[in-house]
Amino acid sequence: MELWQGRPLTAEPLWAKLDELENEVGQTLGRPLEWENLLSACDALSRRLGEDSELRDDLRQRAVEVGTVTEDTLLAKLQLLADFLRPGSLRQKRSRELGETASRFPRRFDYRENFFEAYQPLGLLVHIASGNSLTVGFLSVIEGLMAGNVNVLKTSRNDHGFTARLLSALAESDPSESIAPYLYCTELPSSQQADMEKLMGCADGIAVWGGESAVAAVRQVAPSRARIIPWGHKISFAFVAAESTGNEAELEALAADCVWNEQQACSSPQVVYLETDRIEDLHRFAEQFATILNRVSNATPIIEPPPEVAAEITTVTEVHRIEALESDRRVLEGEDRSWRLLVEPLSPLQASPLYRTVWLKPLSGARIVETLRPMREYLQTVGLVASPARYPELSQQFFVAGLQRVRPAGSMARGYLGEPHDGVYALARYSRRVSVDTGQALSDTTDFSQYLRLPPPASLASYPVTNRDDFSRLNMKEADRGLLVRSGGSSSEPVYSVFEYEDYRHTMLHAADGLLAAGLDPRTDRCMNMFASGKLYGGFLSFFTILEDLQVLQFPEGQHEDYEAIASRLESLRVNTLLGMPASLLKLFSSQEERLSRSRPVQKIFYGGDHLNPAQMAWLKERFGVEVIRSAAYGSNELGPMGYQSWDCGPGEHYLHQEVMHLEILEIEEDRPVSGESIGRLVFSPIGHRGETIRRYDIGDLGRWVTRPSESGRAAPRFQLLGKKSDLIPLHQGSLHYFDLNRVLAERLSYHGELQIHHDGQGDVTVLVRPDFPADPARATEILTEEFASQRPGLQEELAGWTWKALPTSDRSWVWSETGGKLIHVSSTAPVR
Amino acid sequence: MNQTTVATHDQVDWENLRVPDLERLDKVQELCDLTTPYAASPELDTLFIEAMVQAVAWHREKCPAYHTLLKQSDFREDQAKTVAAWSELPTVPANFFKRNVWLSIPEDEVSVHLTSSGTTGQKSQIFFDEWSIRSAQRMITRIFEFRGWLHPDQPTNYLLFNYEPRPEQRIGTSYTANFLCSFAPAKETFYALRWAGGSEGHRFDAFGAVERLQRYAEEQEPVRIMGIPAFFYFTLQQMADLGLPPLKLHPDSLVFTAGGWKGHTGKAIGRREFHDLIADRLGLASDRITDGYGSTEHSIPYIADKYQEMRVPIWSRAFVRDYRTLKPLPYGEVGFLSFITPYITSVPALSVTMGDAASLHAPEEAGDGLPTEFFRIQGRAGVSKNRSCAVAAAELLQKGH
Repeated sequence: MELWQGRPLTAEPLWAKLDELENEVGQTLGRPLEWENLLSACDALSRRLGEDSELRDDLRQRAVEVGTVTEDTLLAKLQLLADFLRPGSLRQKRSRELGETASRFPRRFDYRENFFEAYQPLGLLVHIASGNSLTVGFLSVIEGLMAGNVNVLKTSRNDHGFTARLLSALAESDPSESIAPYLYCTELPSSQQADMEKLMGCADGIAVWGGESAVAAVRQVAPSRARIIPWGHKISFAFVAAESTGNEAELEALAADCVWNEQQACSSPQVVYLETDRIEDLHRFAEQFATILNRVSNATPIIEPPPEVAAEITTVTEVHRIEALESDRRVLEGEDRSWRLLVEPLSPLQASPLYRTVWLKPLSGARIVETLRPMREYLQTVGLVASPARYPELSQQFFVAGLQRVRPAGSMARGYLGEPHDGVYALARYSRRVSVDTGQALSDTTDFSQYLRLPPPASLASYPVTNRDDFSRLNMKEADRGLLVRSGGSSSEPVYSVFEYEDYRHTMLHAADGLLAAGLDPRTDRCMNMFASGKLYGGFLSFFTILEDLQVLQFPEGQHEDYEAIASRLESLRVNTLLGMPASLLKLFSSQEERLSRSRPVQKIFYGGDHLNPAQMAWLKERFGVEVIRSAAYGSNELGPMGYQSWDCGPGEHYLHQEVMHLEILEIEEDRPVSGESIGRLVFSPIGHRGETIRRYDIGDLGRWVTRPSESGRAAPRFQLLGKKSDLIPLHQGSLHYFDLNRVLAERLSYHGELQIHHDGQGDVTVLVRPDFPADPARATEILTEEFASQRPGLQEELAGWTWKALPTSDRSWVWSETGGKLIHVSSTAPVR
Repeated sequence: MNQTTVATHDQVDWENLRVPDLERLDKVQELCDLTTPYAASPELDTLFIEAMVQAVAWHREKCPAYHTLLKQSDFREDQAKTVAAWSELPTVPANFFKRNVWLSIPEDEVSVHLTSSGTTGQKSQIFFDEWSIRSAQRMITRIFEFRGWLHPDQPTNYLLFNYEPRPEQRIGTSYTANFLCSFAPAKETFYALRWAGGSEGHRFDAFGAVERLQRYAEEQEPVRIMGIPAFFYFTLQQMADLGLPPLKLHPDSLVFTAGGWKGHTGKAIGRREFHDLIADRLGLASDRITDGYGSTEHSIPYIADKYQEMRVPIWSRAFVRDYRTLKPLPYGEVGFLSFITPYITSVPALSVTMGDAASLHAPEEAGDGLPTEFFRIQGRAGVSKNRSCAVAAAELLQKGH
């Protein structure tokens, strides 16, 4: 079975179309493979491997024809594949191999310098698979895709289309239909040299799974630009330390390694070394281990070797048997000849013909390096049967000898996600690391993706819109690690979010990106972190992390009311940048007004957790000489940072962190996109979280698209935040937003104090203000009527019916959030039904 | 260790060749004195078995290790009354001799220490006494005679796809080639694998070979082409690649190749295809093209008959053995190729199992009318290259030992 752009080739073999390949590949690479699309397709295929009986049957039949695995092994392999293909696994693998910010978009690695780096695909990656593992070709192609390459897998007819079927299934499972063009598969025989040369002539990288001769053959014909990535045939062995010969359980585990998969894996032991230099020890141990091996072998179903391997085993065994007549060699063999232990007094590593054939050799601990180092290019795994305290010493010796992996006996084949392979990371070998130096330009930019319009995640519309209640239900799973965050208290039931640490790290980095864009200069700014501790986002901890990521000078002050001390530190420590909640920032400046208006130390303010209205900003700028006042981040406990401000953002305007977040703005009453710049609900879909992903989350905020062209040239969507949906004041007809009310009172009356609306849902509204409110209710009503009533017939009567109360904030009528001490904007007094 | 000079066939007194101990090995002597290479009768079988019994007794006494090997087996030579029963004689993989020295003669009686380059890159070696090496050569001579290839009066040009000998050379194929050159007097001899000296070792001179072929064709003297087929094949390919027209060699010319494809297994073509190519490029009749099968360890010459089947001569018997049990298989089935022969007195290579896969066939199955069995090689009886992780094996063995 051959594939052309993910679909079976029926009319002609792939080699007949090689002329087209180069051109197709160029076009395909011009539309880079979106990581999220790859994840979705792999996720879907992962599910199908468990559930799709038709696919499973097809794969099983093909595997049976290949004949190298038992039914049980095949099922286990499919399970391993399914696990590997889960988005969480792929993310973890990528993050471990390429770093947590791995991306094809150039990204700065130091916030203080304008250097950017990215991972780009090699281009066309040819994989030359070998016959000894059923899944290696497929996994290699997945790695190729993870690095963004177009992949041509060269397999053989002996594969019976197993790998091609898996790859075509991946293409079928991709709703974005963007992966198919990245997949080719051919059964071109190596003997067809001219076509092989032509194929490799197109390659930018060639991954060769095979022995030295296979690699040498590729090197001869590969174009000089092509990176050759040899995954050579490796040999593994076990080492039984002198002190552990009595450890029955570990020896039994070792025996299991010796029979597992008929030693077909490169990690299977071909030799068992006993730490000794006495031949009697070796013979005694041989008897002991033979008993164990016999027991384990009998309990493990066997795959008969193919005839030529059976012949090889016989030859090796018979030669050894005859050699044993006059030497210290021995052959210990199962009665049914299902296993063989070839006892050999010479230490150098020897390859076994496999199928439960194991060399048993002596090796003194002092001679490990000198004995094994000559074979270093072949060495892969050593399985240890040794006391734990000797692992460090033995690991060191085996690494010096050239080994790549140390494993406990019984787990020699076991790997983990993101594990280096043959001493390197596969994804890095399948990628190019590219760099950009922007000179002085883009110094507020962390990631080039902000200047490109990214396509939305595939099939988003098929998910329902979820809200806060759904979220708490979805997210209240048992967490065994990470951060369990209690989200603000503006609704009656507190909401908890579980954050894996990786997600926390990742989202904080994006928040740092946002702060850089907002105008923080890590090279020169001196920042005071005035957020309150105890919360996550918009709190002391998160901004501590963000400032740490930015590598900026930070004074971790926290939130407290000794404003005089703070002011004194601002001056003495030359702090020029403040980060904190609007309320405490305002209190700092109003209580130290005299002093700070004179010394004017603060140039930049980045606020979070609440809003500063334009009048407040103007006061800070005029009175205290603050030059930059921007939101530190638009984020939430549920989703992390969603937007950031840049110098070209007006009040409430944010760019979307589009590389980690997708935004829809939907009608207030209906799940349908707003038109133009109309106000609507902000509905976010995070991209790339490791934790359980929530899609289409209605965060409860209102906003509108900003459609004017970006002054800074960013292509990321821009939106204006217009307050919370819960801040809508329901009226008899329609609603009025707290946000607008607050703005008008500030603009018209210069009132910057607390404002709270109580309503019963039936149009009965009470407005709470502070006693220093500079107008009487009639004047206030008049102003509101001027501002709003012209557009809304009937509103004037309603406004006239509102009750105004001027109360000190200590009065119990004021409603504060249960957790954050944050003022509730709009409080419903409607009886709970 | 004596080094017997490489004699040509006419320098040896074949009539007076004697086993080391005529009293104890008279049946061996009698069998090897037979001059007809291909014959069969119950009497011949009886003589063969008697010779085997003597040979077993000889090696049991002379080689303690072989004594142990026999003792550990159930085989009793006095009870093995049929050739088939002799398949039970403990068989030794040819591989064994690559690493081990078993001698049935004192070291100072070793006259030839032959090593072969082997197809896997691993050297094999065997130690011959005067009787054994000369007997083997006599067998070849008799087969060449039988085929009518002895032309002592016809000056002949030689093109050898063998390693050009150097003073200390002991590689088996060259030794044999030199001997083979004595069946017709050499006018000129050219080695395609030329000794380039020092660090370079041997170098394959394809252009030289082509040039030599052209000249030999012009001279219209008989040509004998012998040696490793892969290099000969490349030479013919080279001719085609250069766009050279086919040649017409003297009709009495002879192509006799032996050996494997020498590490070029990936490029092996079928034997028949190869013969057709030779016939086509050099203008030879198919009965002038033949090949042989043999091994340093066993050293009985197996030479293809007119129908290109490998005939077993009277001095040995062939079995094909099961890959797992080593039991003999019926005609036509594929297994290890294995031989027994009583003639070697220096080393207990009485029953040897080769690393090649073959099928055995009844004499009458092929049309030559020859009365002995023949076999067909069916590839290697072992792991082919690149089959699995283990196949770094050959490479490893070179580094490890």
